[in-house]
Amino acid sequence: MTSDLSTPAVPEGGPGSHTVLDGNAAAGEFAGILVSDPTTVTVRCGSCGATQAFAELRAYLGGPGTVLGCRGCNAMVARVARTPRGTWLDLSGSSSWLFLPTPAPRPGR
Amino acid sequence: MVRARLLWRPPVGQGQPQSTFNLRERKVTISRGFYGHHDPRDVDLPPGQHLTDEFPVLTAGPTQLISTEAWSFSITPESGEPTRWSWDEMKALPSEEVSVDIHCVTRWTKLGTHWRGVALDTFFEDIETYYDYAMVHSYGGYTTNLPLEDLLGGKSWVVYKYEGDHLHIEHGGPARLLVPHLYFWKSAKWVKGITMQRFDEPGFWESFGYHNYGDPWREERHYGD
Amino acid sequence: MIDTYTPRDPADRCGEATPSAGNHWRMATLIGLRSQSRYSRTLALRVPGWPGHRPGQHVDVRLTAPDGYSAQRSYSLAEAPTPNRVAITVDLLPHGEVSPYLVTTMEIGDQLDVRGPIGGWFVWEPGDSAIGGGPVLLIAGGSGVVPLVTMLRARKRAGDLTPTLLVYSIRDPRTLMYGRDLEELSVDPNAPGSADVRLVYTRTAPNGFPRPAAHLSAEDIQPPAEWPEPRAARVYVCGPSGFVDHATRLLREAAYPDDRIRTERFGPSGVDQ
Repeated sequence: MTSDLSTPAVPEGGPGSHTVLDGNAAAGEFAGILVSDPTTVTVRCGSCGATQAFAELRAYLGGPGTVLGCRGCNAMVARVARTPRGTWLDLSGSSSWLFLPTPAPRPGR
Repeated sequence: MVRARLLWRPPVGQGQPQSTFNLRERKVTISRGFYGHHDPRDVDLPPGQHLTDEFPVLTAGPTQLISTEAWSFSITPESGEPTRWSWDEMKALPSEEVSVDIHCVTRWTKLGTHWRGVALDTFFEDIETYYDYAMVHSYGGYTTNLPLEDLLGGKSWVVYKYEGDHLHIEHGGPARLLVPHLYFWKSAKWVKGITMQRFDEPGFWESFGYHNYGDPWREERHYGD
Repeated sequence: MIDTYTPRDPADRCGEATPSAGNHWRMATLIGLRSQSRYSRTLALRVPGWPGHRPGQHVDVRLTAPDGYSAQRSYSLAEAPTPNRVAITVDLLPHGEVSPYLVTTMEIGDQLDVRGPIGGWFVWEPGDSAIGGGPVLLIAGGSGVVPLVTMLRARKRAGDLTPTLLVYSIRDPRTLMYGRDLEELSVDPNAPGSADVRLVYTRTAPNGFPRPAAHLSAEDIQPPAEWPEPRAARVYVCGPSGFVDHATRLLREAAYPDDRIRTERFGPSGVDQ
């Protein structure tokens, strides 16, 4: 969701900051769609170009769907809606997602 | 404790059509003694809803900080010419107290919520439009669509007070739309304006898994319901 | 009360400790309880077929009422992996919906659903060099200490020698969690797997405590003098959103590069940080 007005972003510690979590909290909702663990994916924001780990994105949870926003500029980078009729995924706010290869299991595991 | 198979059923006597989600089995584990914030009293609720004593803060994006000095509300018909009200102009319009039940698609219902606001009928008094559909816009970019007839006839308000207090920013203050006969995602927080549209183009959730209209009594939650 | 931590041979893993595919729920049964502080307790759950987990990961917990109403929350895993077992430490939130059930109502034998383990980002295990190989600085705000202590447990079990400091910010002495575990982890600085632990009280400090009660400051996160420069260290921060943002600001001001910092934010905390 892009901001189309010159309204200030919510300041740190300001109203609402306590309810905004990060991609770690949204990982369960995004798990199993493209990858089993999305937290290590590097996401590039389609609005400002900033790259950040999925885990670092701002997460808005508990509504009809789960929305992820750029930690830098607040633009929406992704959203997911799990419905009985299927799972919807929207990555249109991101310009790229980078999935790093998972390291091979270490000896003894 | 035995693991229960849960079959959804609408309340008996409702006479409502059973949605396929209602009939779908859900394998869940019942947690003895858990009630959460919902009130298990047997009251007449839309299908699949639970009564809550809370007012959850749910949002699709950052909380919007709009001062009443900067605030305006506009209606833009097909002519493209917006009619705009400043905060003071909006407050000068006739307002009313309303007490309504609200139903969120995430399954909570809150009965008897009290608001003060201006009916959309008042805003639309001098608006000329032949279009039948409206797109509601919020500060921050959120959108939701609905037919014009669902805004009029005393069915919706721009509200700025909740339970006697100024509407808190977390709940969409300084002003939000209130359309209680539809699921609460239609009651757009931080409302900024309405654009008339010729076709019923879907908004933020309507284009992403959710029902285009959203009648809680027909349990129109998702696209395809 | 059951001691929920069991020392284990590092080579004896209970299964592949990678996140499970998909997001399916598993039934969990409460088998053990341990009070952590006045407002929190650790719950040990039997979860048949649990695939194991890595220190720092979390689970989603779902409670369902008899009439179908359900609520869901995330909790960090509080113990090193043990076959078919999951432990979480839950902080009681006064107006919470799930925490009051978990902290005050749930009894041995009660059940709920769990999903996970979730998250490969906020993870640290001995030998893990994803964000470098230097010393490890752990910064905890309130219940954010849970995943960080799980990391310390894994480190202790492995006898790891990486210099490690835990800075643990709490409101007052009553809200301290894992008091005994932290003492054991720090009592002998020469023991393998030992860590420095630094307590920061923000509201009320114990009588005679050298640091007066105050919010986390730059001085509080200064590593011991013998550590190399900040650029070599790796940092994990966990706690309420506001606390994490504040700590991250302090770290940046202390010249820690962003790619050496990993964060996890929790929802509203029962503890005012």
